[in-house]
Amino acid sequence: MKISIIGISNLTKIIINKIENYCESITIFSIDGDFDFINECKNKKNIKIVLVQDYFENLDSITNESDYIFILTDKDFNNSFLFHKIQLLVEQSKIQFFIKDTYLFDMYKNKKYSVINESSIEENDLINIIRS
Amino acid sequence: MYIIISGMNNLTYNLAKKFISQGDEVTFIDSDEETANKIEKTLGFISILGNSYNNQTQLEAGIERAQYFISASSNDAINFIGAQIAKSLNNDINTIILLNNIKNKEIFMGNEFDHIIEFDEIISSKINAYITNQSDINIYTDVDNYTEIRVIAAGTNSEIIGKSLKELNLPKNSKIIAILSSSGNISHNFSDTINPLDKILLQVSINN
Repeated sequence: MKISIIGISNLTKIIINKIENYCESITIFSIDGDFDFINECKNKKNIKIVLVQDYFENLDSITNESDYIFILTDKDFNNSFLFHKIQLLVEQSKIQFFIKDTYLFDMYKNKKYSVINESSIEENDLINIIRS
Repeated sequence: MYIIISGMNNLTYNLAKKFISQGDEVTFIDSDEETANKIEKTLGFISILGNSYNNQTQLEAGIERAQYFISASSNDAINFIGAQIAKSLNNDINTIILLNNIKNKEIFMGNEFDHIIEFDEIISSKINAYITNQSDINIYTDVDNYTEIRVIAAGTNSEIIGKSLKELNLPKNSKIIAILSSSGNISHNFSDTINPLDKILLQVSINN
């Protein structure tokens, strides 16, 4: 399965650790150059990091090249907005987005959105997603 | 009426001034302390320092008793999430969103917001409301930034019709914002020639 990840945050690192051995390829799109993280990923054959100026201008290439998308920037308002934009292009079951704020997390959970945070992420769930 | 406005800028400042003069109560939410202090000195009402995408900040602003939430920052993502939170905290509130980028309109339309207003639409309707037969009028002065927004209307038989912008004797230190046609189209192609009833929107520096 080809995975696209938007943004480098703590959750990006957690998810990468959990899924990297189960994926054909992982492409991480990032505005910020987190060079320590980029260096860590350099030797991993199935991980590619693409630096972009603007996520919103690159949505077509992000969505076209992936089977599953994680939206994991460190800003809740960006993740929420990206989710709403991407779900116009890709079915909701193929997207998960990261929300740190607990009120917002519960608000979206109540709306049955595919929202994740650091405490809700389950390794088995992730592997099931990737194998599905 | 009690109105909460997210985002302090010239547009919302003028809006708040009108609301207050009509007897309405207004609170701003913004994280810019300097602008908040400036606005408070002029209008004398309370601003809440913080972000509209935080539910506690909205509660502190009194979202539960507000009739309107105007989401008008320069960031569509913040306007979107701010209005979603406002609706979740007060189901009866009317949400008004200022849309900065027309490409985002589809997302806003598909959600639970009450009114979506395009920024360009505000400018053009405001101008159309002001302009009758006057050929060159000042429609807004931003004292803090020493600028004016001016409109030059071509009318039906003005000498500027058929000329390009380069050929016009525009005010010194002016920057062209847009050309508005009589049908309401907004053009940023400044190589066009002026047609009858076109209006040229200018920003003019009034410093010195």
